[in-house]
Formats: sequence, structure tokens, C-alpha cells
Amino acid sequence: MDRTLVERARDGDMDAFEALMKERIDRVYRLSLAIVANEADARDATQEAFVAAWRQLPRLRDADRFEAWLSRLVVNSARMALRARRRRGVREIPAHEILSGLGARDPSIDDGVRLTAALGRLGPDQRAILALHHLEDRPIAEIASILDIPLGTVKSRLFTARQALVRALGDDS
Amino acid sequence: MSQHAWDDERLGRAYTSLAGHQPPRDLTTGIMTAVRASGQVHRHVPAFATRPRWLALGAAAVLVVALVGFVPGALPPGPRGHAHLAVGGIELDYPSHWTLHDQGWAATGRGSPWAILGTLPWDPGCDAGDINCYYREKLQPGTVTVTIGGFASNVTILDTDLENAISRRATIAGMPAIVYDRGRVPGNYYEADLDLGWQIASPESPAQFVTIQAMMRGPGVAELRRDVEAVIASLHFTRPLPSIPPSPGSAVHAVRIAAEALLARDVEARESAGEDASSIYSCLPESLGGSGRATVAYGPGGWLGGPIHVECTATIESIQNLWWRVTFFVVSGDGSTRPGARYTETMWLTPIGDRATTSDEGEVPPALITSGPGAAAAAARAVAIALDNLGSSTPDFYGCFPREPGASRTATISTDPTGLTHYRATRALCSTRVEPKADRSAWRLILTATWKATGSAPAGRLVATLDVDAVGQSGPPIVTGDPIP
Repeated sequence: MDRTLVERARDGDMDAFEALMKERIDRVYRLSLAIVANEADARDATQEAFVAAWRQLPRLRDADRFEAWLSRLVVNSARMALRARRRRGVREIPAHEILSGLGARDPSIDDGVRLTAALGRLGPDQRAILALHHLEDRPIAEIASILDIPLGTVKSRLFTARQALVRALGDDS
Repeated sequence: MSQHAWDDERLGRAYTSLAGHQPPRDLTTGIMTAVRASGQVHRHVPAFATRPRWLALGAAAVLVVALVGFVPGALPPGPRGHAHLAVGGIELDYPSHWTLHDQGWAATGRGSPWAILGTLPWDPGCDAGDINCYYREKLQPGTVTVTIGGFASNVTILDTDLENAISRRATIAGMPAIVYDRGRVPGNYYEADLDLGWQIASPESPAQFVTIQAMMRGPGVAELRRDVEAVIASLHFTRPLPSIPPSPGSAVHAVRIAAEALLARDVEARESAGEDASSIYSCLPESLGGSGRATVAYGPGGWLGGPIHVECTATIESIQNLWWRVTFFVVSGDGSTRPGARYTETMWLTPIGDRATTSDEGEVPPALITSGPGAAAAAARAVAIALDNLGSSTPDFYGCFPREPGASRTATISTDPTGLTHYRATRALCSTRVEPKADRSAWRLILTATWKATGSAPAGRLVATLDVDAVGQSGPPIVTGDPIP
């Protein structure tokens, strides 16, 4: 991580912030997508996370914590996007409805579609912890730091989330 | 279509297919447009009309001032001889001959600094954005410096201990505050003759503070103090202060708010743990002040490893007519590894029931390990969690052991249980065994690695024994046997 870029952005240098953002936008978007399971909401959550990062950067004490700090903002933005979606009454489409329109294809892509649909049936916290673990390969200790919960809680939540996901995937098969 | 079960590998591939998604092309532009519109710090608008050198500019200047007044966000001038500052949700007036710095510095150990006011000249060599450069400046004779900032604590202002003799409680801008008068601190780096401080609760939460520190050096300390105290007297919050109406219905309202707050915690716990989970928050008493009982599987930190009985009480109090304080008190009972353990959660709510801050004390310990049907599955689950956790730090040793109790496998070890890495790999047979402890507080996990002699390296055996509780938390391993070659 470029500590200098973070420090410059923290001091109000917008070019530095833009460089930081461009380096991370793919990752942030994918993490958002894995939590909100919807491209429009992932776009909103990504934008919200970066705007929040810019506004709150002056309060980031330790530049080396930028990555974990940004991930926390992303998780929070994605949760907010999910809440907003609930208020809008968006209906989740079951995976089998999507798959029936696609015909036979690459199994891993079908699994991706199933996963997206199954994630839609989990709570925001479960989606977040699964994405941090399976998509971003974050160690348990780092997930604890990002979600601001104890190590043991991460483990038990991850276990429960994994069970819930497999159950949701099974229902959609 | 059905493939294998949803194991780690298949799940990993499915997540990888999500990783192929790219953000929309115009998203970068959209973000930067939003960032530019958002701003990072509050800006000060000078009080033109109060400064004599501006008055000479005549009618044209008056017109400019009038126009500035219509700019959205522009602030009205302060009283004569004073300038006005709006920052961080507060507004105040300060002597117009003081200078203002509000460059939006990074947070420091003193919290987040918003603005620095006063008569202390800054070293011209200092970058205006470098707060530490300012912190190095010593006071010069007859100068004052006032640092204004924000600070979020995990302790509310009402629970903050007073420092004997130098602090007292007060009300500033309608909110609870603590005032510090440290007088002249011997050996003070800044050479201040007077060091004053204010910590004021913000309307958002009793655990968020506006902090103000004023240091001054004589001569003229009395006059400088008056100036600073006038600044504090002018301070007010831009948002309305919280207020609990003293109406006859407020008690009924309070009960409803407390119940809703606890039910909301229950919903949050269920969102994390699953709809069918029974969390401690489901242990709602029938009435405030009464006690409730429940059998629960989820505590404040998550899964408890099995069902335990809990007894709980809840109270609500109006605190200074500003906030509600809901206290939820849980005692663990049968099924717990430590019956009688206490957990207290304190929620501070705004008058309309929004949660302002939450703190907790104590814990809800995990459940006893199960000894009946399902014991083997429960042990396997806890062992898998424990090995995953241990393996995240020393994968080359704990990664050798199978997750299933009673199983063995051959793998390569290059690290000992303490994480010390060896320069050669040892092929070892690793077996996992588990047995319940007599008091059912945990399983005893016994990990045995054996290896044959190769070349000059002798055969050996190493055993790591550790306790694993029902949620998979493990104690420190006790390691005996031979050193890994």
C-alpha cells in the first residue's frame, strides 16, 4: 500500500485520493456486489464507500490501517444499500428462475448465479463475513478488525453464515 | 444441475466467478464528481463587516458583503469585534483579532482537530496542514491558543470520572460537560500559565464530545481567560438538543422505547445468527423491573455452542431529560460453563428511541459441551473451528492434522507448534483425537505427530494437548515429546 498516497489524500490532495480509488475500485465493487448481490446497489454502495472515505479520511489516524478501514466503510455502505433496497421492496429472483432462462452453460458460472441468488437470502452481516472470507481471503483476525467484533465471534458467525449459505444453495439447486 | 456438495472448493469457484464482474466504466467519474461535491472540512467565512479596514471600502464593499450573505452556507457575522466560526456541528464567536486555522487535519491522539484559534503566530516554515508542526509551537508572552475538535469515546460523559481538584461537571450549550482548570502546570512544555479544557457531550450521543483546550501565557492572563470564556459562552450546537418531554405519558413511552430497543437487538442477533436462533435478547421480561427467563443459543458475541438458560432484567431511566438509558442485565444459568456469570448491556437512546451508544460489561460464557446424541458432530465442529484458528498462524504444524476426530493422515511439517520454522520438511503421521473433559467445560484435543528416522535425523513423536470449548475457542497448547528434526 502506498502510505504516502494515503497521507496526501488525508491532507486533502484529491489527485492522491483519485489514484487510491482507481487502484481499489475493482476490489471494492466486487466486495459490494458479493454483499448486496445486485449490480445497481453495488454501484451505489461503491460510490458511497469512496465518498465516505474521502470525507472521513482526516480522521484516519494510522495510514497503514487504510485497507481495513476502507473495507469497513464498504461493508457499512453495502449494508445501507441493502436497507434502502428493503424499503424499496425489491424482490429477490430465485436462482432456478434465472437458470431456467439460460440453458446449459459453464458449471462455475451457474454456480456463480446460484451463489448470487442464495446470498440474496442471507442477512447483510452474513453476506459481509462470507465475502470477506471467501472472496477476499481475509484472515480471521483482519475480519474481526474490519467488522469490529471479537475473534471468536467472527469464527462462530462465519460458521453459521456458511451453514445458512449452504442451506440456501441447497434450496435453490 | 447438481455437482458435488457445496464444499470449500466449489464455493471458492463460485465466488471466483463473482470476481470476474467489473465496475461500470463511468463509476470512477461518478465517484470523483461526488467526492468533489462533498468537501472534506467546513470552511470559515470571514466576518467582513466587523473588521475596520473593510469599512473604508464603502458602498461597493457593502454590496459584496450582501452578496456573500446569499451564498448558500455563508454565515452571518458575529457581534461587533468578533468573527464567527461554524465547524463540526457547533457555532461560536471569537475575537476578530485572533487567527483561525481549519485546514482539516488528520485525526491525532487528541481526537479529530477541527480548528485552532488564538493569537499564537505559527512558524512560517510550518505547512499549514501539518498539525504536529502546530503542536510543537510554544506560547509566546501574552498569547493564547484554543484547539477545538471532536472525540468519540466508549465512555459517556456522565460515566467519565472527574480528575480530582482540576475538573467539575457543568452544562455548556445546554449539554452535559466537564470543565478542566489545570492552572499553571509545572514544567509545562508550552510554558502556559493557564491551561483550561472543556469536554462537551454532543446532541448525537453522550459518548461523542466536542473538546476545547485553551492555553495562555501572561502577561494579561486574566483578560485572555475572559476572551476564552466568552468564546465558550457563545458556543451553541447547530442541531436541536435532545429533550424528553416531562409529560404524563412519557413513562409509557419509555417502556415502549426500551422494549423496541431490546427487540431491535434481538432482530440484529437473528440477522447474524439465523431466523431460528434464540438470542439473549429474546429473554425480555414481561415488565420493566421484572425478570424474564429463556433458553438461548446466541450471546452478545455470537453462538454459545449450545443451549443455556438465562435470567434477565431490564430497566429504563431518563437521564437529565436528554437521553434514555436502558440497562439489560443477564445472568447465565444451567447449561453454561460458568453459571452465575453476569453480562450487562447499557444502551443510551435518544428521546425518539434511536440508539446513541451502547456499552457492555461481563460476558455470557459458552455452553457446556454436549454429552448426548450429536456429541460427535458437535466435537467435530468445535475441533474444526479450533484447528482452522490455530492453522491460520502456524499452518505447517496444525494444518497436518485432520479435522475429523479419530482420523489420521500423512503430511509434511516444517514448523513446530510455536510457529518456529525449520529448514527441513519432516514427513509425519498426524492424528486427531478428542475426549470430553469430566466437567464438560471443554473437549480435550490431543494432536499427535510421529515421524520415522531419515538419514541422521532420529524418529520422534510430538503431542500437543489443548482444551477446546463448545464454540471452538481453544486454550494454550501443552506440547510434549521430541523436537521436530
